[in-house]
Amino acid sequence: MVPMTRIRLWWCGLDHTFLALATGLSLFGLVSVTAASFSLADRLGFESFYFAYRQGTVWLMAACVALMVSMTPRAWLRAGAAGALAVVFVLLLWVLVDGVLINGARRWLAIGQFVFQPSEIVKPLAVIVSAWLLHRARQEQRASLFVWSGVLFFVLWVVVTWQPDVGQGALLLMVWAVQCYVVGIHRRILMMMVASFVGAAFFAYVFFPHVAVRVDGFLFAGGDAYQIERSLAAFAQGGLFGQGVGQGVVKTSLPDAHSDFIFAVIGEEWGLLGCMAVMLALVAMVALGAWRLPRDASLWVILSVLGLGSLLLFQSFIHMASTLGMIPTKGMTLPFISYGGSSLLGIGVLTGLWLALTRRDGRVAYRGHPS
Amino acid sequence: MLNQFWLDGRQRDGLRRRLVLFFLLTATAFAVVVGRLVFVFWLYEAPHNKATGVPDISRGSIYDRGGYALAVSLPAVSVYVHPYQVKDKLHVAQTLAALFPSKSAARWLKKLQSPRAFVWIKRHLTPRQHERLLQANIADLHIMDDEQRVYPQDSLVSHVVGFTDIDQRGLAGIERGLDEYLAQGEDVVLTLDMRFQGIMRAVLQDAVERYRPQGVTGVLLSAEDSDVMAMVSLPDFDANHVGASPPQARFHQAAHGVYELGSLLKLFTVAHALEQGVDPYERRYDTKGTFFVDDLEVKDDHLDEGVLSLAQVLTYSSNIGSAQMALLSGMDAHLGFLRRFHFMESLPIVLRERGFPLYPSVWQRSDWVSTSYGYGLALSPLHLAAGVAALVNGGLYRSPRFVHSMREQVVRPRYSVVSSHTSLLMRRLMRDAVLYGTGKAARDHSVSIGGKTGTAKQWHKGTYHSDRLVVSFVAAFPIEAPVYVLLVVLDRPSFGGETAFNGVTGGDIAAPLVKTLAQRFMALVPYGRDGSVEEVSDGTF
Repeated sequence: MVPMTRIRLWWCGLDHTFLALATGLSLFGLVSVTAASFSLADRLGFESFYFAYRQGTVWLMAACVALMVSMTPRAWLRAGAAGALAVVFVLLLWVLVDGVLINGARRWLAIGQFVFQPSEIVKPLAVIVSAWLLHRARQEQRASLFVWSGVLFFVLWVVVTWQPDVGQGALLLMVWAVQCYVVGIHRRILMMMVASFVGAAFFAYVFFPHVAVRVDGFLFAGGDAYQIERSLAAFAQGGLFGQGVGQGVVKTSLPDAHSDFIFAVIGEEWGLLGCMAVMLALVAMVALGAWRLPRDASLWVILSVLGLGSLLLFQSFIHMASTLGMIPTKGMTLPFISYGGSSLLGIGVLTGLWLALTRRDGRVAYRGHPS
Repeated sequence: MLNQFWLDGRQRDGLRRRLVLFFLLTATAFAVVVGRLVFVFWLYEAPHNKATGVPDISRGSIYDRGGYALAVSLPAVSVYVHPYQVKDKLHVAQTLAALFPSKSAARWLKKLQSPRAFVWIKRHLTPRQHERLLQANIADLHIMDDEQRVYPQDSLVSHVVGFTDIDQRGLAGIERGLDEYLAQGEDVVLTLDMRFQGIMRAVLQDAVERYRPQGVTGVLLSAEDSDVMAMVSLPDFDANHVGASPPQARFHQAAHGVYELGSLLKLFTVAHALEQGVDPYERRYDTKGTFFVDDLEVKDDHLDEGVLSLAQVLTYSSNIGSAQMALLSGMDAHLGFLRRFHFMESLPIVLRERGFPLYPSVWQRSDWVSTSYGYGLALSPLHLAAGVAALVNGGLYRSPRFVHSMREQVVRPRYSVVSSHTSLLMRRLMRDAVLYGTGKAARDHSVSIGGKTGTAKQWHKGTYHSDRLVVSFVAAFPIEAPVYVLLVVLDRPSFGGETAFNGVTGGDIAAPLVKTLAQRFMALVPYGRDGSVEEVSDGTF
C-alpha cells in the first residue's frame, strides 16, 4: 500500500482524460505555432524560432498556473474566482484608459516588454462567478441574483465590446445564455435574452465599421476576401493526409496564420485527418469530463463545468468556422493551439478550474483503481 | 414575476435533459464544421494556386474558324523574391539595375526593402534576359515557370477577343466571357473568319481616314444563323499593349455601344405592316407636309413625293409613312413586334460587353411613334444586324453567335418572328431601295444587294443636332437568297471638312462602303468548322 500523500491524493482524483488531452493539444499547438510563424518571424527580422520560444515560455507559465489552480480546494475556488475577477475587471477598465493600440483595437496592457490581454483571463472567471450566482438564485428562488449575473455579463460585454472586441463579447453572452438555459430560466425570459442579443448584434453592425465591413464582405462576397481565399486554399492544399509538418506553402501568404488562422495551417500540414483529430480531442475532453461528473454534483459545479466547456467549444467553433469561410472573419484564437500569451494563460486558468471542479475525492478514486 | 421566472414543476427538474440537449446541439454544430471541412478538402479548387496567383493549367487558345490563332499562351519565366531572405540588398539592387535598366538601383533597392513576403522582380522575361539573369547568378532570386498571353493578330480582332491581365484573368471580350472555360485549358474556336475581318477592317480604316468619324462599326453576320463572321469597331487597340491605348479605343462599339439608328428601324415598321397583311403596292400613305402626333412633328426633309405606297415609304425612306403605319398598328402591337427582336433587352451573347437598349421608361404616344423611324430607341449595331438577318432569312431569329465549336455547345433557340412570305417581300423592298431609292450607291452589277439607309441626328445636351449624325447602311446579299447581313455605322462623320446633312447620309457614305465590302466578301468562301470549306446555303425558302 502506497502512503496517501497529499500529492498522491490530488493526482488520483484528477480528470486524467482532460489533463492528457489538454497537454497533448497544447504541445501540438507549440509545434503548429512554430510551423506557422517562422516565415513571419523571418519577415519581421526576428530569429526564426522567435515566436516558438515565446510561446514555449508562456506554455510553462500556463502549465504552472493550471496545476496550482487545480490543487485549490473547491471551497476556495469561488472566493478566489470572485477576487481574481475583481482584479481583472480593474485591469479591463485600465485597458480602456491606457491600453496599447494594436490594429485599431485597444485590448492590451503593456507590462514591461510584454503585452497582456485581460479579456482572455476574464472569461473563465466570469463563468465560475455567474455559475455561483445562478446556483444560489435557483436554490433560494431569488430572481435578483439572476439579474446580478446578468448585470455582471452585461458590464463585461460593454467593456470588452468597447475595446473593440466584438467576438469576445459575443462569446461571453453566448456562454451566459447557455448557463441560463440549463439552470431552468423560463422560456419567455430566454426569448427576451435572445432578442436582446440580436439587438446587440445589430448595434455592433451599425456602430462598428469593421464589423459591418466583415459582415458585408461575407454576405455579399465583397470586401477583403483575401484572407479567406488563402485559408481555403491552405485546406485544399492539405488534402487527406496533409503536406507534412513545416512543409506548408500557402501558410506563408496567409495573414495571422499563427493565431486567428492556425486551423488552416493544421489543415495544410496535417490534412483532413489532422483537423478531425483536433476537433475530436476538443469535443471529447469536454464531453467525457462532463460525463465523469458524479450524479450528486452540486448545481454550481455542473453550471461551472458547463460554462467552461461551452467556452472551449464555442471559441473553437468560431475559430474553425471563420477559417473555413462559414461565418464572417472573426479574430478568435483556437484554444490550446493558437499563438498568443494571454490566450494560453487564460486556457491555463480554465484548465486549472476544470480540473479543480471535476476532482474527485482522491481516496475514493484511489480505491476504485486496482493497484 | 417570480412565478413565471423559473420553469415550473417537472420542467424545472429536467436539468440533465437540457444538458444533453445542449451537448447534442453543440455536436451538431461541430458536425456541420466537419461537413464543410470535407467539402473544402475535396471540392474546393483553388483556381490560382500557390502564393503567386499564377494558374496551374495552361490557358486555352482562341482560334478563328479557319484555325488562325487569335490568342495563345506561351511559356515564359518570371522572377520573384522574398525580400526578407535577401541579405545583401544593395548588391542585388545594383545587379538588377544593370540587368533591367528600366528601374534605377535605388528603385530596385526600395522593392527589396518592401515589408511584403513576396515581390515580383520581373514578369515574362525574354530568353535573352533570362540567360543574362542566370549568368549574373544572384542568390535569393527565385525563377518560376510562368505563362504569357500573346495576341498574334495585334489589333485586328482586339474588341471581340478582348484581353487578360498579367495573371491571365480575362478582362474583356471572349477572354472575359469564356474566362472559366479558357482557364481550364479548353480551346475556343470563334465563328469569325480572319480574311473577312481583315478586309472589313481595311475598308473601314480607309473610311476613317476619309470621313474622320468618332467611331466606325462593321458587323457581318451569316444570314441564316447569325454567326458573327466579322466584327470591327474603330478606333481599336493593340491587345498586346492594352495599357498604351486610350479608354475610348477599348470601348466595343459594335456590341456595347447603343445608337439611335434612324431609318434602319423602318424595316421593322414595314415588316410589321406586312405581317398584318397590308398590301405593299396598293396601300397608300399621305406624306405631304408635316404630320403631327401630339407634340411630335414628323417631317420628311428631303422628300416631296406626296402619296406613297408602303413599298415606296421604304424605298424613299419616309418618316411620315412609317409613323402612320405604327399608329395603325397601335402601341402594344408595335412595341411587342420590336420586342420579338430582343430590342428591349441586352442580347444573350457570350461577350460581357452587351449594350442595353435605351428607351423611355414610360412610353408616350410621341415616343413609340418616333421609334417607327428610329428615334427614341437606341440599339447596339449587333442588335440591329441580328434583327435584319431574321427579316431576310425566311423569318427565323437567332441571337448572334461568336463561338463556333466548344465542348459544351450552348443551344441557341431559333424562333420565327415573321412569316416567310413577309421575309420574301422584305427582300424585294430592300432590293427596291437599292435599285430605285435612297441606297442607289450600293447598286452593283456583280452582287445583288438589298438594303436600307439610315441617317440619324444624334441627341446631345437636350436636342437633336443636324451636324452630329449617325449614318448607316444595312444590307443583305445576295438578296435573292441572302448569305450575309452586313451593317456599317459611322458615328459623326465629317465630309469635306464641314458637316452638314447634305451629302452626309447613309446613302452617300455607308452605302458605297457596303458595296465595296460585299463585292470582296462574295469572292471568298468561308471556312467550315474544321478549316474545310463550308457549304454555302442555297437559300431556298
